[in-house]
Amino acid sequence: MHDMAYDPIHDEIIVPQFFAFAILTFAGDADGNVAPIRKIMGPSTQLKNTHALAVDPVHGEIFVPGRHGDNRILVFPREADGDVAPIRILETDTTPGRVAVDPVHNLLIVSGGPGLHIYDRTASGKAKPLRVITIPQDEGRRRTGLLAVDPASGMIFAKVGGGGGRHETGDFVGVWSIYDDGEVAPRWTIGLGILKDTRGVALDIKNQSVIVTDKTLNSILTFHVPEAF
Amino acid sequence: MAPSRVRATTSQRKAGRLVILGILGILTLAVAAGFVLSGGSQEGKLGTRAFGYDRPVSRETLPQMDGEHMDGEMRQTVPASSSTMLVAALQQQSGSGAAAMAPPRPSEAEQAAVASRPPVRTVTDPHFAYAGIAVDPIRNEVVLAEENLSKLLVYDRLENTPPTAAMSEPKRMIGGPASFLEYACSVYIDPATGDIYGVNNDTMNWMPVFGRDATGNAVPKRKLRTPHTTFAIVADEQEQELFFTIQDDHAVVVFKKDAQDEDSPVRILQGRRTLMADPHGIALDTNKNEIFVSNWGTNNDRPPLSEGGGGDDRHNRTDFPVGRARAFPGSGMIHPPSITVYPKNAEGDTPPLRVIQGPKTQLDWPTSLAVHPDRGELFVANDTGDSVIVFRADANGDVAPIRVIKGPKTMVKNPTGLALDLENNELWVANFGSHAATVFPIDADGDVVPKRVIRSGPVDAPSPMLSNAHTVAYDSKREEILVAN
Repeated sequence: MHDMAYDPIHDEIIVPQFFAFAILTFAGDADGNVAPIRKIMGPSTQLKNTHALAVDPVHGEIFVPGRHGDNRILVFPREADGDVAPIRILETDTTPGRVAVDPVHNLLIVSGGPGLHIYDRTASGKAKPLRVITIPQDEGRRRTGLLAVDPASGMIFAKVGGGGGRHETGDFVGVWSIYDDGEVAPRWTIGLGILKDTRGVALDIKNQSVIVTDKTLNSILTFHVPEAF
Repeated sequence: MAPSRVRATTSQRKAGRLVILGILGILTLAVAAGFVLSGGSQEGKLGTRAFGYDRPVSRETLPQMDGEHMDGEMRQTVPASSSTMLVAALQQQSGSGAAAMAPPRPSEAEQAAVASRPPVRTVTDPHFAYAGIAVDPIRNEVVLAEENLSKLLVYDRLENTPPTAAMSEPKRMIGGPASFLEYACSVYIDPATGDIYGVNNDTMNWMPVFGRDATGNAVPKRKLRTPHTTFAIVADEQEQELFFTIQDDHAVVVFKKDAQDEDSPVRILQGRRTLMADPHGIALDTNKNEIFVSNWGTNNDRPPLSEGGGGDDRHNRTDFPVGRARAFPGSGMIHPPSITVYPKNAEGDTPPLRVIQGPKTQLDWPTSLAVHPDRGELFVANDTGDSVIVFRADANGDVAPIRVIKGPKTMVKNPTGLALDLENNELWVANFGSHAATVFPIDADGDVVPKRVIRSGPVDAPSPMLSNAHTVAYDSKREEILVAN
């Protein structure tokens, strides 16, 4: 499983099921042998190789990026259950990587290749991004990945990889503002010289911390960076 | 080598419980581990429990940490305790408090200070996490595949860690960038040569083969390109063939035993009629010429293999199974776990001869399999069932196991590897959840004490069960970290 989300308003855990092409929602306190409380799955969903998602707890929507050349982001109602069609579909120029939603500024942030693509939250069809942040060329063949956003400050926290092999300390979490645009270096870099293969980024906003999972280190690391929030 | 427990130093004010949730999906084998908090000195109590078919896998709660407060001012942007307050807070930020323009960029000195800042906390496991196992009664050795540090570990077959000892040291250890080992989940030992075959899950799509004396960051004698997400291996020594399960493709691929580099499989078993669904373990009955496959239950539909193989975005191998990129959108399915049985020479879209499936079976993420041909028994490492269950090899349908090894005396905890020593009538179990490999008499039943135990850590060392740590989420209500493996 490559992604997951916690919905703090409704106290739910939402996960993609890669083989079953499904989105499963569990109660926040799920423990033991429990079934999901909702399951988005079936032919109408158009879901395929479901590996990532983001939840907008304020507007009640789940965003699911495509994979393997599927340049689409499918949007479902948060409370959808069963074989339901997406309520809208955003077609992107390239295959989306990960997605994050800023429900305060009404933005959808999409990672992919060397860029962060910032769309209106309700964008659909072939809508163009409002802004595109790209990593400076002198950073080498960098690419963006997992995402998290702090809606209050409008800061985007994105995994930046490609700085070396899986056993090299080349990854970091880059921090940009949602207002950044064009080729611009991250405002902050977190974990550079430590992270090798970042596979998860989450925010503990209350404690102004960034939580990172690293596949090669097989570890969970917490960085306290109040400056970045 | 002596893994030691690292003490934590710092932490978060009132950092409450830390929860690790490993979740269903690709890479979820797990084995034991202690954890390192680079901050407090807390030990957690593992509370792994069996879940349903679509579920998280484990939950681990740490006691409260009494670390020092963090530097910097705390702020509670979103009140975690109240949904209503949270919605209101977010909506209010939209109108007033939220950033309306880009803040000024920090100075280079400020950036440098953040860039060089170490983590305040790290959760990791200093101990080996046993996943796969193979026994060599000829040379009196046992080899364990290990998923925490990606090693193959060789121990004496009669090693028995004393209760007071922290761990047993392996005789030899293979691992490192030159070894082509990553998240080694299964292992096979060639009885004739003692060569060791390692199987990787997820990112390393190679099967390295080592001489029996290999050690350290060894270069394999040879290596074979495999489809993505191999899980288990079994060899047919009579026919000189190797069988692998492929999770992603819901398939079994068969290679010549001496295949290497980019050699093609000799046959593939794949298709909707096979009923394979996230296959894991595989076993061979040399008397009946049948293969057994354990299935966790999720799959999807694709064009038939008869239309041509290939379609994995990681390679351009049309001689491999039909890949996930060719799957039909919306075709996902969730079935109860099962064990499917086929003729050993089955290929294409061949239906199983028998299917063990249903509530009486107790199957709960059935992982490694082994068949005792003379006893006519099938042994199953029942991962989230915390048990080893045994069926008659000719079992079919919704049948109860004939024996169940389970309970606190057994030390069986999230077993993912299993091997039979037919020479010495012993059952070996690799427990991902307890830092232990346990040995039982072949006819063990119930809550029995193992004959011998090989441990990689202290008996009471907690196991974060991290393997291929992947995505993470933060539960602000409970102050818990959710991690998928």
